[in-house]
Amino acid sequence: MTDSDLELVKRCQRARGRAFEAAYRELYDLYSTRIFTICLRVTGNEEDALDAAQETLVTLARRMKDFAFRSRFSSWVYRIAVNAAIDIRRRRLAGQRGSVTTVLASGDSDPLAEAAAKPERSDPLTNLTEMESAQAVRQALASINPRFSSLLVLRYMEDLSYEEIADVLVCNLGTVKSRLNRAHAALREYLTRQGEDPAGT
Amino acid sequence: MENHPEPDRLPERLEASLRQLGGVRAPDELWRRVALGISEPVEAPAELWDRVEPEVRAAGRPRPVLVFRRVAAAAAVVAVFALGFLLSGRDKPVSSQPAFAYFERVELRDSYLSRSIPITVQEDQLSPAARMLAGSMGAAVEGRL
Repeated sequence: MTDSDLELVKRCQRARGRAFEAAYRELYDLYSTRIFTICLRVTGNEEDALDAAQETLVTLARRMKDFAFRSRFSSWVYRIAVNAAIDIRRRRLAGQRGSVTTVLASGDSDPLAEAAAKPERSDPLTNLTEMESAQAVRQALASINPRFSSLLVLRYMEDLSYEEIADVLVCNLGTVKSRLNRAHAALREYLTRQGEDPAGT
Repeated sequence: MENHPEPDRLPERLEASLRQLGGVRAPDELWRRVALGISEPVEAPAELWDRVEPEVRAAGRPRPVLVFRRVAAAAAVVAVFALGFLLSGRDKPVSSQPAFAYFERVELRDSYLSRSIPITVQEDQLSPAARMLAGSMGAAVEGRL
């Protein structure tokens, strides 16, 4: 976070009424994509992601004055977003499992099943393979334990270091690494179970 | 600082697929929702009270005034009917209206009393209404006719 970003946070803390809304809109523009990405990948659907992102951003606005600059502001934002997304995912978990099963068991029209049935692809199909792969990974993130999916999002989509992830999750470095190992294993296991080759070969 | 073993690496292509999923722009609806959630209550302009006050004053008028008016109107109607009833009977012969004749003519009252059977009761055996009725009919109450 740059100095101007920190100044923006301070401005949000000082402002009232319309001035606060204007300052917060700037902060929103800085963070909304990151927040929405986390929420979308952990919850697995746009509707829940919107709910989780809204909850995150409203909580952030209401608790803005509590931020004491003892840790990174971005870590604080990520922490609120991860918790909101996990919370919503848990609330919807039962229904979501049903829908995932339905999609993956839908037979001939399922791109994942088609991909598994065709081990060799010629070059013109490369893009399609990538799309299928992306779809499979999206599905996997929305299906494995949300704590693992949030960890994978922070590591690979937000490109956070282990130290930064430890700051977000309020745990030590060793815990981050061991959890990340388990998250990798969960992701690979899910993809293998669905007939995908985790190595993408 | 402890030296923790590095986590297993993901297959290259899987890691690439994960990285490609990042950076999803939030839909515009998100800001609309957030703006609603963070907007503070706006103080009403003073003019609002000026507009509302006359209505408030009208609504605050005491309702008993209205009730009293209705009661007064009903009482007036009853009084008119009662007066009309009394006046309509004034020209008729007394004999055709024994109840009123009883109050108006003393000789008739004595005649009725002579035909009645006197019963003596203690005053405290009668209700106030019965005492009043007995008194108006000429009963001796506490030695008074």
